[in-house]
Amino acid sequence: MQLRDRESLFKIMSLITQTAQATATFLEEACLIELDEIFGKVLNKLNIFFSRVENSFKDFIVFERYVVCAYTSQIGYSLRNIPQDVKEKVWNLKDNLQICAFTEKECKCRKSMNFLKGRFSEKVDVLSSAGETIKESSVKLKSGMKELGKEIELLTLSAQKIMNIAEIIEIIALNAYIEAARLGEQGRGFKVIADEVRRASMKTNELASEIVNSIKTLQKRFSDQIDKQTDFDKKVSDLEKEQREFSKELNRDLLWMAQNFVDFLSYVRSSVEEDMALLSEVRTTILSVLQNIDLANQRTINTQKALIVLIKMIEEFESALTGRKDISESLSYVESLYEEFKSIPKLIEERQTVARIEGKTLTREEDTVGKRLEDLDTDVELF
Amino acid sequence: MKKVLAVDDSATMRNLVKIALEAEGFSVDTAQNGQEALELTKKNTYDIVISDINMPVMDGLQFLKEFRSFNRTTPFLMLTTETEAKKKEEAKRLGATGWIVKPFKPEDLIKVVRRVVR
Repeated sequence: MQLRDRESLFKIMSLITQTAQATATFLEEACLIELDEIFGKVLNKLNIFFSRVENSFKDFIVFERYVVCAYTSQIGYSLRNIPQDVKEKVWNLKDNLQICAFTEKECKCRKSMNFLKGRFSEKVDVLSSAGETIKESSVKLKSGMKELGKEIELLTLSAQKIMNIAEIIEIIALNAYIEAARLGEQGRGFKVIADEVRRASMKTNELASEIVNSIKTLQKRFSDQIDKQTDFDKKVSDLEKEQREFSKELNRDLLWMAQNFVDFLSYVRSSVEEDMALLSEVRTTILSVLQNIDLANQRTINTQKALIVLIKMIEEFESALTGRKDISESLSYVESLYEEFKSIPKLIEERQTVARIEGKTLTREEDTVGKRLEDLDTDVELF
Repeated sequence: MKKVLAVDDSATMRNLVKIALEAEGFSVDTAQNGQEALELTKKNTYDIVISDINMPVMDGLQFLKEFRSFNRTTPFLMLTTETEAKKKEEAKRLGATGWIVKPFKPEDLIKVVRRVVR
């Protein structure tokens, strides 16, 4: 073999080696090892996201039961402070409204709620009708008692007048007796009249006494009525007190519920914000994975093209070695194949690989044609 | 609502551009190659065209050349894995507005589109 032929063969071998080395790098870069890692991250993020969403739902269920349970549990702290074990307990009993998550006994929460609602409307009805009755009765009682008082006053006055008259008649009768005694037989008729007058006087006295007794009875009744009124006033006052207490309790419970609700809303808002941020991160990662898949496809296609060129080079080398083809012709063909190979890389990394194999360096700056946007992570040029 | 035409033979990339831009309030039409895109640009008006280069039937540079024969104003961005200066110069000469190298960050694509679309 001539020296020139030997040099040509070495040159062919050298080109084949360069092509093979670059192709091997392409193949390595096209591997999905990185993707596997990225997929792992996506799965992890998705798992976190779905766990968070699940927990949010759990919290919602817990909140619903927790608020209802406020009436019997009397725990009185907001949702975010519910201990984890209690939350778990409440969650596990989400479908069982017969069991209270806090007491683990028969759930009285709903019953309490209904009872409270019933009690409230009942109270309102009773209070409103009682209010009317009280008002009406009070007015009637007041005017009745006023009239009664006047009657008693009049009766007392009349009785006194009658008694005074009776006294006068008694004196007249007594004087008539004295006069009759002084006149003797002549005053006998006078005596008869005096007797009648005296009897009339006694009857008047009896009548006056009866009136006085009646007044006493009336006074007693009046006094009893006053006692009854006092008792009635006390009952009204008790009712008012009870109503105040009830309102106070109801207000406390409503405030408690409102506070819990506000806390819960704030909790939900912050949870949703966190979930959204996580979701956005997951979305970005998925988009990045999709792009990497697309790039991996392109790298694989480029590697396949490079391998086809490499096979042609090896076949040509074999033809030259076996003497089936002229060595200088083969070298020229292999050189053209190598140029074809160099046109395959599209990605900067692939082009940098070829440059490195040839002992050169390739920088991004050499590729820049327009104005590079430095504030972006993506390689962007505007013309 | 601004209208965008995204052209790529890869369904993943087409959808990716669509997802990223629609989330920002753009309306996005897609085409699989230059030929399909050319037909769409003749029927519809777009505020921006974003096209890949290496595509079957009609590649991105040929599409750009044909498109510029009847539309000289609509911004035209190349979105490609190609990085070679020679290709960029050709695109610039044919009337491309800019060059975005894949892979890209969706937020970066949005920034560039907002900057280019008036």
